[in-house]
Amino acid sequence: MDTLVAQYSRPLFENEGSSQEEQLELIQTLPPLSLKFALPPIAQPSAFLRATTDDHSNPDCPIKIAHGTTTLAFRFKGGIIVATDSRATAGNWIASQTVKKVIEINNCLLGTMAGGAAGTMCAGVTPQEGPALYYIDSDGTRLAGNLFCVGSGQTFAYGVLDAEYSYDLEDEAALELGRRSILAATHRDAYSGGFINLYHVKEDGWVKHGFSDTNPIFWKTKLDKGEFSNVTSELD
Amino acid sequence: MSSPFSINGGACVAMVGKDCVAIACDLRLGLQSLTVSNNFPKIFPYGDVYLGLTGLATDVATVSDLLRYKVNLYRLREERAISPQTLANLVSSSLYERRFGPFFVSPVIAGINHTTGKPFICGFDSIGCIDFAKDFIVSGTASDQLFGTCEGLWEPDLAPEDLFETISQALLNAVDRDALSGWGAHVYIIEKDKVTKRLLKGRQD
Amino acid sequence: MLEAREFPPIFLCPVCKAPQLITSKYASTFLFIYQPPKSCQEVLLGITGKDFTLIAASKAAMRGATILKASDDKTRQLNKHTLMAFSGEAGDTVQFAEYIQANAQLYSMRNEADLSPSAMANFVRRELASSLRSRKPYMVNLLLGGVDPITDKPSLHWLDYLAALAPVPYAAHGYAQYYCLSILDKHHQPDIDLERGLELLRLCTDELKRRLPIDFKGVLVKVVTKDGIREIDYDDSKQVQSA
Repeated sequence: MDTLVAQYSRPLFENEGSSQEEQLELIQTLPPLSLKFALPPIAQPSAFLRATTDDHSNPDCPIKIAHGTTTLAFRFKGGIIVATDSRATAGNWIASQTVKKVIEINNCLLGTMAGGAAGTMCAGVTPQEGPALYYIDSDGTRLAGNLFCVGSGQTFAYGVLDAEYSYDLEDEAALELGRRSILAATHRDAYSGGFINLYHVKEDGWVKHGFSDTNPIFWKTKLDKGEFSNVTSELD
Repeated sequence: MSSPFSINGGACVAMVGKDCVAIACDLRLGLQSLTVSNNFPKIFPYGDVYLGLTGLATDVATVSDLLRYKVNLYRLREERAISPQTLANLVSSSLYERRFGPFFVSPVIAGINHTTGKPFICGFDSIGCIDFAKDFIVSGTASDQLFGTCEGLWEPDLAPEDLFETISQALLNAVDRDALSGWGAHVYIIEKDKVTKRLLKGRQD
Repeated sequence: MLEAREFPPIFLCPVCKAPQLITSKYASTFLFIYQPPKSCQEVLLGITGKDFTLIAASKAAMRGATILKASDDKTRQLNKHTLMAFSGEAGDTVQFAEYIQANAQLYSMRNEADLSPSAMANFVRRELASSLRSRKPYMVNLLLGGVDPITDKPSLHWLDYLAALAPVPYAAHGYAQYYCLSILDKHHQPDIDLERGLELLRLCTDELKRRLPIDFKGVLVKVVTKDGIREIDYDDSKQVQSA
């Protein structure tokens, strides 16, 4: 009975990844010297990583990986707009408000990151494909498409973006829509915020359109355009 | 993971100055990551004593309603306004009544005792243990951050305008490092015969 | 075997991540707060304008993998100018709504005056809050739309199954919150007329049709004005193109 209980009370992740023998075998069959990986001094690295960082399988995990984020990218006639927020959270703690979530891969390719298991996007112009946008995530999904939002604030960004998106947008309107969609997400999603990082990918490479604080942008949007009528700006 | 105290988010702080006290709260009401309302004040007046309540939003409303009922009855029976010390004991005993099924709130009290003229602040845990303090009291999901900002900014015998500046900076800078609170703030500066209420336009992200 | 009483401090809804179970550190008994996963797929929307409050509720009545009815009315009229929309656990929703409806009507008869929308909201909140700490709480999310009979001011109150109450200019429940609140943040103004209100509602329902993986069978739309409550014809047949 005790062995039965022991067998079923072990966490699921314990049996994950390769066993110690398998790993030893792997290390020993690897080419020597320069191509050898340094491994952490623990029996099963993948299980260890799960136990210490995966909130889902172990709610008491000591390291909380940042999950919150909002990133978006869409294709239009003038190229591709890529926009992200800049907040990093660990639990409810805001660890940083100035994270760069756009990776400048080369002068005509951009990538975006969303923490944890969330997806990433790749945007770029290549001679073969023209302007191309891909959604990629950790379980191996790869989707080509016109419009993607990723992260905990994705739905808020989709809401604003879908309502006014069209492939025939002018450059200025497209940039403003990208900026406004991220602003919407930072307002409603607790785990998104900080600065709006905005890029425009064109045929001859990408152009950066600022890393701007949401705070002045928010109040300008509210007070000049009368949007965000849910926010009070004066005492009754 | 998430406790009842951090489902809705929110922060509150009270401070003592020279012949004045201040109490301030944020305005967010959320459901985990989603911000539902940006106009959910957590400070409630009982005569000229002020009670700040953070924690589970349903209990914030229930406890503030319950105490309004009790304080109104007190005023009718005694024919005088309640003092901050008496309110503190009333809050404490009301919370301890629910010792084994508590309200998930962390109250804060700020007021000036009209008999002695002395400022008074205190805080509680969810089952009514009183925490008396001479300097400041913090509560809510940003309480760790508030301890830091208050320790750094507070000094004794601040005049009302300086106290306003201090408590505002302490609150705004604390909630800017907490995902679950912020979205604007209310600040009350309580003097012997005057109460000033101000709205702080905080970051809206 | 696992002890039946051994629960982690909080269970999250596997679908919408809303807290389902709350336990107390001090308590020997548990306070069960369970939100059924289906309720986050039900759509409730509310929008206030210059002189009206719009309420929209999805028409699908879902049980398990089946849509039992595609013309369900998830609203009840409480008095001449207060309307309540509800979503949540099957049975609880209608039981609670009709209990509130009966008491609201009793109040109107006894006092020959209606409760104002905010008074009604506080009454409903109190009923829900006391049920929350009972043996079997009602699991309902509510929107209360109304127009104040004295000031003629429109109002909207958001109430969740934990009985947290907030007065808001526009609101939603379930997944609709995540898609529609940002749309309304951008396009809503306090002084809009009914026509514009319906345009905003169209933006919201189009987005839900575009992005939600489930079919909620369109929405039933009602409007509250100072003259009372009426249903509005709302064409839901149009297919929405995805970007």
